[in-house]
Amino acid sequence: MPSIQAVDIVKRFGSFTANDKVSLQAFAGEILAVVGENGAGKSTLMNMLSGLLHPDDGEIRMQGTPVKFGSPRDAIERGIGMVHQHFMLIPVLTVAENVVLGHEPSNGFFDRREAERRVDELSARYGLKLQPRARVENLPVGLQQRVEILKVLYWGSEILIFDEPTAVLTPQETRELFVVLRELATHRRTIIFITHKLKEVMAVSDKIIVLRTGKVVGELITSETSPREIASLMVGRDVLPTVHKPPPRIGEPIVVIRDLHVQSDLGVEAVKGIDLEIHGGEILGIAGVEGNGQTELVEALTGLRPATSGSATLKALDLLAGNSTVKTSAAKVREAGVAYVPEDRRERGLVLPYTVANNLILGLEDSPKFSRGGILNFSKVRSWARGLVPRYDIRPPRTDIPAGNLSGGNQQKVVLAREFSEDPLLLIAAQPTRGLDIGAAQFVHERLVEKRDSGTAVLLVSAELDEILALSDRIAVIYEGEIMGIFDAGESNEEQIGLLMTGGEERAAEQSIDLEAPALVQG
Amino acid sequence: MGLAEETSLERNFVWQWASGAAVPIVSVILAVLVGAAVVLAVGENPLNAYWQLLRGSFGSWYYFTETVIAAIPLMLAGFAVAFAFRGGLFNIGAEGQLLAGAVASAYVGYKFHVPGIVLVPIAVLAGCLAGALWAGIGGVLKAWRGAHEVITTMMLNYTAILVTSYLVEPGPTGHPGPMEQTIQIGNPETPPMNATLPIIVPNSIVLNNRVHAGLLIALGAGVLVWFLLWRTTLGYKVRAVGLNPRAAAYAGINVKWTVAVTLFISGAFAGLAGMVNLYGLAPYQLTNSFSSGYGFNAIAVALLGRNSVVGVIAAAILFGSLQQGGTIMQANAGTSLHLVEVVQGLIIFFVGADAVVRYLAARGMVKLPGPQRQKAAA
Repeated sequence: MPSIQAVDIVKRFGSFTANDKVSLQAFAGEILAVVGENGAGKSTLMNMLSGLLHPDDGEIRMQGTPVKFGSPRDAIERGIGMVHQHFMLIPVLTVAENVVLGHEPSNGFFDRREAERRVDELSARYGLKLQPRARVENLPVGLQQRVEILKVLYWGSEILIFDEPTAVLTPQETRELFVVLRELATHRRTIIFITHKLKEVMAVSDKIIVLRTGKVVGELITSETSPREIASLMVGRDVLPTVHKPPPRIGEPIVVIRDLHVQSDLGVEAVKGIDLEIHGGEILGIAGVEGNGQTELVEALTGLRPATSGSATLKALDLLAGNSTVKTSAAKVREAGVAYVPEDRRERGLVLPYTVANNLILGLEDSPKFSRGGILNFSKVRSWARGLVPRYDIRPPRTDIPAGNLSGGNQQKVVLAREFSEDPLLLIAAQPTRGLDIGAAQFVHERLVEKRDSGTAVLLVSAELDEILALSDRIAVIYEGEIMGIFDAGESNEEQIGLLMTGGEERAAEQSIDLEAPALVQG
Repeated sequence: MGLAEETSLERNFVWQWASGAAVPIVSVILAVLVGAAVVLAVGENPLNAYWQLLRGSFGSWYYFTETVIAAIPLMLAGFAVAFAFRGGLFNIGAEGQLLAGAVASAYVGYKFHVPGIVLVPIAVLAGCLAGALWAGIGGVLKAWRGAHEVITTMMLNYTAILVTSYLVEPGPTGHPGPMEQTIQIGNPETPPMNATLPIIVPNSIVLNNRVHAGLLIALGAGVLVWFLLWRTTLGYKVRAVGLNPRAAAYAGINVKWTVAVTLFISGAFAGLAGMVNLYGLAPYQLTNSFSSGYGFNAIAVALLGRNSVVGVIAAAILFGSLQQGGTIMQANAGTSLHLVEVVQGLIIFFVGADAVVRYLAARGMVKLPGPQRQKAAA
């Protein structure tokens, strides 16, 4: 009998149906992966299983008995625990204190020793190595997640729901998490694992449920399927359309970066001596797992973040902010011909309440094209926007609605339209297709290639290796702030790059996810 | 497609007011109802109290002009707070900036012996500049040192209040303060300042009215605020930084500079409020109790007016009417003037708690215009 079952669940938000007769079942000792693109209804479904939302129709059954959850607490009491993507931990408390929070052992006062003993016991049983007395704020993210898992186990949860657990993890931590998930499954726990990363699904799950636009479109046995099959179910058509790309006409180096060092917000050196040249007419792809210094590199090149040392020049202009002689700013870098598609369009690319027209002049408002003497000329802004909207196929084709009302893909088109419009010498695109559907992603890719062919130097930063491979003329692999190698597109292969992305040869042995191996001991 | 489309949803302040007015209006109604319960609880007749309040503020042309007079400084200081809000800044220091403006313009008024036509513009500039600089301290600290503007502008309130006291009050030895007008109090022989703002409504229309040219200054300032925010590149940057500072920075807008300038301009309007009240109303003297909390009420006015120019004007008139009508209510109904403060407090409470109103809207108990309803339902 399935330990948990959803039967024909329907959830509507106004006129929008987020879950349309969704059914799933999961058994003790098995790992069920729930996959789907952003907005497919995964989170809504999980929020109903964990008591945060209530289904409009259909029912949830545990061991065959219908259940109703009034609140997350109800669900927890019935043995359903959710490990959230964003941890619900109190940083200043210790591991043990966080785990027992809300159910503290007591001897009149808080019994710290008993709490630590129980945490030790739990972590030994499930191979979740942790120091009960360590302060949570001092732990790396991977270990913080273990605290979350321990907390859920401490509540006695039989069913554990993981909401995109690997989003915040390094590859190493991801591998360790998978070992833990396997371990939990052998202890007859039911694991539900939400993700949209196909490799992880293949590596760790037993069964797969594919959601698309609120409906279940596939129920698969992992050992009998392929990433390609899952992907085509997720998007509803064949994936990875090839980009039509003529051979590059590589020109002069436009940007020269020498021994660049940049610090992260935390004061840690994030870029450790990078040398790069980006030529006109080429797309240079930076491949790497996120958080390896890409953001800092790009922010240094765009004048948003001071570099600690080294140089970066565009033609003859010094790009780096805070570099003694010239005081560079983001505005000056832009004026010099650098366009930038930031990695997070909602947070960094657009002012969402601004109209499409207003967003199309963001950063250009002082240009004589749009204002004179500090006074905006709205008829010029409007005709500018009316020219760009059809050219970039922004839908709905209106200039006077807030950008926040557009879909993700159309928001990204607004950013592209603005950034491409000034005929930049250097175009930096960071994660330009994140969260976009295939159609929109292809549109973005075509525009990038178009820019390259017009002689622009393009720096493409992407966590999607497929995207890097499809678009780049040269590929630089970044790992922990250093360039591990630079390849011409023809002479590289996915395995080689994948290897370098995780640190190269010395990590090769750990590269494959070996589920038979004993739990890794965390230092 | 002409002007109709140009005044798009985002920029059209009339539309903004219409769509945003539901929550403030419901808040005011709720505040009045709860205020009535308070009056009832102390054993008085709320209908009579409110009738006297209404009569005292709008019941005659004279009362109405007094309401308008009370609204003038609230409008100006309200613009100050609203402008800062548009830039994502909470300027809680309008009171201090207002006093700074009053002190500076008072100084000009005593020291410059020139004709009024010259003096008044100088005083306007002095008041604006002083208020702007006072707020600008907070702006610079925020932009380049990361000090939160709520803390700095609030602390500068106390500084301004105490500096004003020092200037206008006699010291412990009875020695006059450095700003000599304290000597003038109670001495009608010496005109306290070398110029004042003229009365703009003829006596033949409303007898003995005191409506001064500050009204025109305030309305002009309203047009200026609107123009700055919605027609200039500066206003475009101010609003962009207010809505999404990160995206603004990524696009190359100098966020630090914009933050500092926003508070600077905001303070100028508050400083102007000080100047206008000093030059517009008898006894034309800077006293220790010069501002009866205009700068603080201005925060409520801006909130109630949803940071739009029309909204601020309407809210300022409402607060002005409470202030003016309250006096009459106290005299005629015997209800304490403090009821007015209760109602003002409740208005602020309900504006702040507009979640309550949205909740009622979601239940269909209150109807909101289109976009509001979608939000409430979400």
